[in-house]
Amino acid sequence: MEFFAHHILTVVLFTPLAGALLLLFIPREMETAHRIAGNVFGVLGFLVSLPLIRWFNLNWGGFAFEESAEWIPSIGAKYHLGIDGISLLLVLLTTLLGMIAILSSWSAIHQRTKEYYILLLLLQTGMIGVFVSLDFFLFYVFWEVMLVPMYFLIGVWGSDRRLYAAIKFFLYTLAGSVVMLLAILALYFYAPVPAGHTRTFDVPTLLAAAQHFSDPLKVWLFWGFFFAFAIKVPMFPFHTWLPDAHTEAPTAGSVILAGVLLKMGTYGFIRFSLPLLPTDAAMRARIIHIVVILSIIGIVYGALVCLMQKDMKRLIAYSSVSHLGFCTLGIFALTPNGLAGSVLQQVNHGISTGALFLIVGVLYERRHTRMISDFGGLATPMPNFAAIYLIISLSSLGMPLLNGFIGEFTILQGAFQVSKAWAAWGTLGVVLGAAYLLWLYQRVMFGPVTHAINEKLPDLNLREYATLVPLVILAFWIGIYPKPFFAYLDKPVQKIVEQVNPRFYEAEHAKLPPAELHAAMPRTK
Amino acid sequence: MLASISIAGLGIWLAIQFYRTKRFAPELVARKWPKAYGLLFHKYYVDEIYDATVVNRVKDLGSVLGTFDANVIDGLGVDGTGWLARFGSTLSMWWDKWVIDGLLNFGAKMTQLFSFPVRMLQTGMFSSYAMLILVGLVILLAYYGHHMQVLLRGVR
Repeated sequence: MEFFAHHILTVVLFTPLAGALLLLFIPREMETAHRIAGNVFGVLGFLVSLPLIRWFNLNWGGFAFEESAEWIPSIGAKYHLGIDGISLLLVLLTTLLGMIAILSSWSAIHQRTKEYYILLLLLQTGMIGVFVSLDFFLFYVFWEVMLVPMYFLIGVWGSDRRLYAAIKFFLYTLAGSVVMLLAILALYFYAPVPAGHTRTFDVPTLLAAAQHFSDPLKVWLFWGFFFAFAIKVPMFPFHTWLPDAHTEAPTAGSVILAGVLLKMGTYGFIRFSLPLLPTDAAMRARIIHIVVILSIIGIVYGALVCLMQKDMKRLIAYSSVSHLGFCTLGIFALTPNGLAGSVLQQVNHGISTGALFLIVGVLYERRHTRMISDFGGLATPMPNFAAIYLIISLSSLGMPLLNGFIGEFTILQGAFQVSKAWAAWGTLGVVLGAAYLLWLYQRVMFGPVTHAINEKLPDLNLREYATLVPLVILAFWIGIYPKPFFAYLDKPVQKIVEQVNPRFYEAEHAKLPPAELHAAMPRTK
Repeated sequence: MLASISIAGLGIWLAIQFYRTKRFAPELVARKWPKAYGLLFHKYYVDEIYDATVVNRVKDLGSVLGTFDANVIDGLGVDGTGWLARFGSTLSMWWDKWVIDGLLNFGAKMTQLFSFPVRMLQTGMFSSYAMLILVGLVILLAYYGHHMQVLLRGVR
C-alpha cells in the first residue's frame, strides 16, 4: 500500500503492460482466457487510476504524484513522472476508454486474440506514458512506443484497406515525430547548463530555460513541435491519415484512436508548444493567427466533408477533424475559458466520438457493413439502440444538458473574448455538426426498414450496454454539472495563461469595462 | 392584432365550411384556382426554396470539398508524396545499378579483358603444366649442355 501511494503513476502506467506480459504465458488456443485476462487488466487499469481523483490536491499548482529516478545518467534522461489537472483528466479518459475498448472487442475479434489483447494493453501503457512523462526523452519513447501496437492493430485486425491505412498512419506520424525529435534535441543542447550540472531532458527545467531563448529560436522550436502535434490532432491539411486509419481500424482501435490518440496532439500543444511561443507580440500574433485559421478551416471543412460521406465510420472520422478544430481554437485563444473548454472538450470528444465508434461497431458486428445506404429504419428493430445512439449524437453535436455543449460553449466564449470572428466561424461548425449528425441519424435509424435483412436485427446485448451506458452517464454528468471537471483545470490553466498571456489577467485585474477590455486583448484581424 | 385575429378567424371559418359542414367542395376551389391552391398546398414553397438555396448548396459544397480532400489533399498531397518517394527510390535504384555498380563492373570487365591472354596459359590442368615443365627442362638442359661444350672448348 505504501509503495502504491508513493508510486501510483508507475502503477497506473505499467498495469496494462503487466497484463500484456501475463498474456504472453497463456497458450495460443485459449481464446476465452485471453479475453478474460485482457478485460481483467482493462478494468484493473481503470481501478488503479481512480485513487488519483481522491488524492489529487486541487489547490496545488505544480505537478502532483511526482516520481523521479535516474535512467540514463550519461545523457541526463530520467524516469520522471508527474501530472497536473490537465493530464489527470486525460489519463482517466485513457484508462476508462481503454477498459471500454477492451470490453467491446469480446465478440468482434476471433483471430489471433492473444496478440490482439497484448497489443491493446501495450498501447494503453504507451498512451498513459505520454500523458504522465515529465522527461522529454521518456515522453518521446512513449510517443513512439504507442505507434507500433496501433500499426499492428490496424494492419492485422482492420478491414479491407488495412495495410494502406496502417502504413499511412505510421509514416505520417513518424514524419512528424522526427521533426519533434529535432526540436527536443535543440532544446536539450541550447538550454544553458549550470556549473556542476549535466545536460537534462527534464521537461519543467527545459521549458523554463526556453523562456530565455531568443525569439527566432523559439519560433523554430515552436514549428518543430507543431508538426508532430498538428499531424496527431490532426489539423488541416495534415488530417488525411485519420479517415483511413479510423475507418480501417477494428472498433476498439477506432475508439482509442479518436478517444485518446488525437488528444496526445492537443496535450502536446498545451504542455510544450504554448511555452515556446515567442515573446515578441507581432511574431506571436502571426503564429497564433496561422494556427487559429488552420483550426477554423478544420472546423468548417471537416464538417462540410462529413456531409458527403457514404461510410458511417468515415463520416465520424471526419467529424473528429471538425471537433478537434474546436480544441485547437480554444488552446490558441490563450484565454482561461478557451483552454479549460478545450481540455474539457477533449474529454467530451473522447466520450462522444468513442461512443459513436462503438455504435458503428455494434452495427458492423451485426451486418458487416458500414455503408449508410445499407441501413435505414433501424429504430424499429433496435429501439434501445436508437435511444442511446440519439443521446450520443446529440452529445456530439453540442446539445445543452449534454457534454458537447459545455465544451463548445466554453471554447467559443474563450475565443469570443479575443475575436468575434473566430467565435462566429466556430459557431458555423456547430450548426454543420448538427446537420451531418442528424442527417446521418435520420438515414440510418428513421423511416421504413429498407433492407429485409435489417428487420430482425437484435437490440443491444448486456455487454454492449456495459460499454455504452457509462459513456451516456458521463455525457449527462458533464452536461449538467461540469464543475468537478473544471475544478481540476482551474489551477493549471491559470498557470499557463499567466505564463503565455499575462496581459489577460492584467486586464482582468484592472477591471476594465468590457469594451476597453476587448481593446486590451491581443487582437488579430 | 385585430387584423391577424380576423384573418385567422376567417381561415377557421373557411376550413369549417370546407371540411365540416361541406358547404363548398374544396376540390372545386382547387380546380378553379389551381395556382393559388398549389401555393398553399406547398406551404408557399418555403421548404423547396430553402432546399434549393441553402440545404442542397451546402451539400454540394460538401461534395466538392470531399472530392477535393480525396483527390487533392490526400491524392496529390499525401499519395503524391508517397509516389514521389517511390519514384525517387526507383531513380536511386537505377543510378545505383547502372552508374555506381556499373563503374565497378566496368573495372572488373576491363580486368577480365586484359587478363585474357594470361588466362590462355593458366588452364589449371596438371598435365599441361607438367608438359611445360618438361619442355622447359629440355630447353634448359639443351642450353646448359651447349654452354658447357663452349666452356670446355675454351679451357682446352
